[in-house]
Order: sequence, then structure tokens, then C-alpha cells
Amino acid sequence: MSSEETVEAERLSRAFAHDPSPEALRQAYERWGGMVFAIACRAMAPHDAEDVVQQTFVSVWRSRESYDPDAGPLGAWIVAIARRRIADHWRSRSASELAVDPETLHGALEAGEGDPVSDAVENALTVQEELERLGEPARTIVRLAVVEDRSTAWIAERLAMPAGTVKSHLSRGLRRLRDRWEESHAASA
Amino acid sequence: MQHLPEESLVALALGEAVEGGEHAAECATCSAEIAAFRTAAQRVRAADVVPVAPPAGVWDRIAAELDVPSATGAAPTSASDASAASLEAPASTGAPVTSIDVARRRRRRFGVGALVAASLASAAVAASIAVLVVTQLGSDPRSTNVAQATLDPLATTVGAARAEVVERDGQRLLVVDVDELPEVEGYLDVWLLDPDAQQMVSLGVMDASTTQLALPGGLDLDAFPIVDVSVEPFDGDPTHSGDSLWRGALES
Repeated sequence: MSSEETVEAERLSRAFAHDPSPEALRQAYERWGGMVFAIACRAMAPHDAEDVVQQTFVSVWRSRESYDPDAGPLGAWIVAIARRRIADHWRSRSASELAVDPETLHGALEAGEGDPVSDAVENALTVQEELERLGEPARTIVRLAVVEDRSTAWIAERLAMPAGTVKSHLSRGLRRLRDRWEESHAASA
Repeated sequence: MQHLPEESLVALALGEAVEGGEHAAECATCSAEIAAFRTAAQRVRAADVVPVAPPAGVWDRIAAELDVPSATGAAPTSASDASAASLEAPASTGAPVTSIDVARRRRRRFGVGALVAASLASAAVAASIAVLVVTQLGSDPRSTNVAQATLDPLATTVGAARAEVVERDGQRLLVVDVDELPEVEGYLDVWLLDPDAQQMVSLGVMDASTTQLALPGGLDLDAFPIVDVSVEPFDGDPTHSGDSLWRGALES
């Protein structure tokens, strides 16, 4: 599973960077649309989450010229765009549904205060973006070890990889996730 | 004093034994590092997302909005052909793309409980309505497909699975079909979840590779569109164990 996903994610990133055809967009949608939908569903009703998915991939297409594969894999870039479209959704909903003073609202949004839902979605976005940024096989290794609680020996056997390689991917991956978490905490503190 | 290498700290944080690990017990620096890695791991776990395929219409709407072919296997398009769409303003720098009918689609705001969507372990918020109706029906040719789902394996130990809602003589049935029934400690339970995995309905025990379960008459599939199969220990606790093997969204 991992080797296929590795090749697939890398191939999609390259294809989208060098020749962003509608077919490449469709493949990117098939690969990452479900993740964007799942994240959006955490924060809003499914119909609104569908809108966010639609807006995300419309943005992906319209800003395709700005995608730089050297800056990171396509998946991480798509998650970053989804983050903005989710923020747009909250802003528009807040404006239309909550009769609050616009300046107060703006301040709260800027400070990222007062919405535990946004915190959770923010966490999901950050973690998914970093996992995508890790690339394969690190992403799969971190998920197997941390989320599925598999031992390094099990992962090494499953992925047909030396245990030392698994350990070093895992250690580097978790270090990056931890750094990102501590950075974002320091920034908001 | 020689501190542990980072790989060992990470391994200890994830509960694996490492050579020289006893050092951590008497070293404040190393135990603080282990605690920090453990926190990072917990955060990844809490934030993990199981992809859920959006309904089929979403891609069609994207394709329509961008005026690109929506069908699979569309004629290859070169980068220059695609330039027409680039005349439009890049959305990432322009005004927020807002839904025209946000107000019409207004929905309830989800509470903090929705945050733990990924980990169903938070059974406290899960109003579990046990509606245990297992029906063993003989084959009946007159059934209509109402909805179907591809169930994604959530564990690497299981293969593919599918679910289908059929209507037969006015009774809706959920048919769950797995390639191979896994051996588990306990039993398999089939659930329907709301999109946030906050509310759920227990449908019954899965004891064959193809199992049919009756759906309660008034159950709104739009409100509970996610099929989930979990491993439940024999602990007498009627709530979801949090240990799911498959999950997928029903599409009509």
C-alpha cells in the first residue's frame, strides 16, 4: 500500500506542477478530496462541507500556477488551501448568522479565540498538512506507529524495510510534528 | 551522563522497550523529552482523519464551475489548453468564495463533542441507541437498492468491504459484505453514525461475511449516513468501543 501511495502522491505532485491538466486535477481530487471532506465534516454540516470541498478544488485549479513542488508535496498545498476555504466559510457564516459587532468578530477571528471547533479543525488541518509534507514512506510509518499503535518490528516487516529505517523515519516525523505544534503554540501564546 | 538518542526517546514515548531505556527513569531531561513526544503522538491520534469520499455530485459541480470535462478518461489536455481558465482571478488571493445559499443551508453548530470525531472512544457524548434487530431473511428477488457505501478498512489487518441499503417489502435492510470475516477478541458490531461520529445507532451483530440488519423504520439515513463496523469486547458496555475496522459513507 505504501509504495503505491508513495509513487502516486509524487507522480501527482509532478504532474500537477508540470502539466496541470483537468485530468491531473481530477486525480488530485480523488486522492485528497476525501481527506478535505472529512476535515470539513468535523466543523460543519455535510452540505456545507461539500461546498468547502468544491471551493477548495476550484481554488486549487485557479491558483495552479502558484503551486511550487519544491516548496512541498501537492497534498500539503491542498490542505493549506482547504484551511483558507474553511476559514472563509466560518467568516461568511459568522457574518450572516451571528448578529455581532463586525469589529468584535474580526478581532476574535484574528485572535483565533472563542471557537473550540475551529481549534479542533485547526489541529486536524495542521496534522494532515504536516503528514502530507513528510511524504512517503514517513507518513505511512507515522500513521501506523502512532494512530494504529503498531510496533516498529511489525511496520518493518509489513513495509519490507529495515527496522532502523523505520525508526529513523518515525523519529524524524514525530520530531517535525512536535516542532510544528510547539511553534504554533508559541505563536498563539 | 549520556542522554538517550532521539530515536530511543520516540520509541519510549510510543511504549516500546529500548536498550538503555532505564536511563530515562532517573534523567529529568530525557523524561521531559519523552513526555513531549508522547504529547505530540496523542495530538496526532486525536487529529487523525479517516478520508470520507464526498458524494459523487461534488466533482461534477467542480468540473461545471471550472468548465473542465467531468468524465473520467477525458481527452488529454495540454497546459496551454488549460490557460483559458487562468484568465479568472486566482481564488487564493481574491475575495473569499462564499456559498450563495449559506443561510438556507444553515445547520446547527456542533459542540465540543464533535472535536473527538476521529476517536469514537469518547462514549460519553455518544448517545447510543441500541436498536438490535437482526433479521435473517431468505433470498427475495424483489429488493431495491436505496444506497451503497464502500467501507474503507481502518486497520491494516482487514480487506475490502461494502455496504448496501436495500428496501424489501417496505423494510429497509443494511447489507454489509466483507471479503473475509476477521478473527477478533469479542464480536463485530454494525453502527450508523452521524457525519461527526457524535451520534450513533447500533444495528446489531455481524457474524457472517454477508450480514443483513434491519433498519429502524423512522431512521433518517441523511442524519446517519456513515456505516461503521467495530470490534466490541464482551464487557457489557453498550457503547461503541472506539475500535473500528471499517467505515464508509452511504450514497444514494
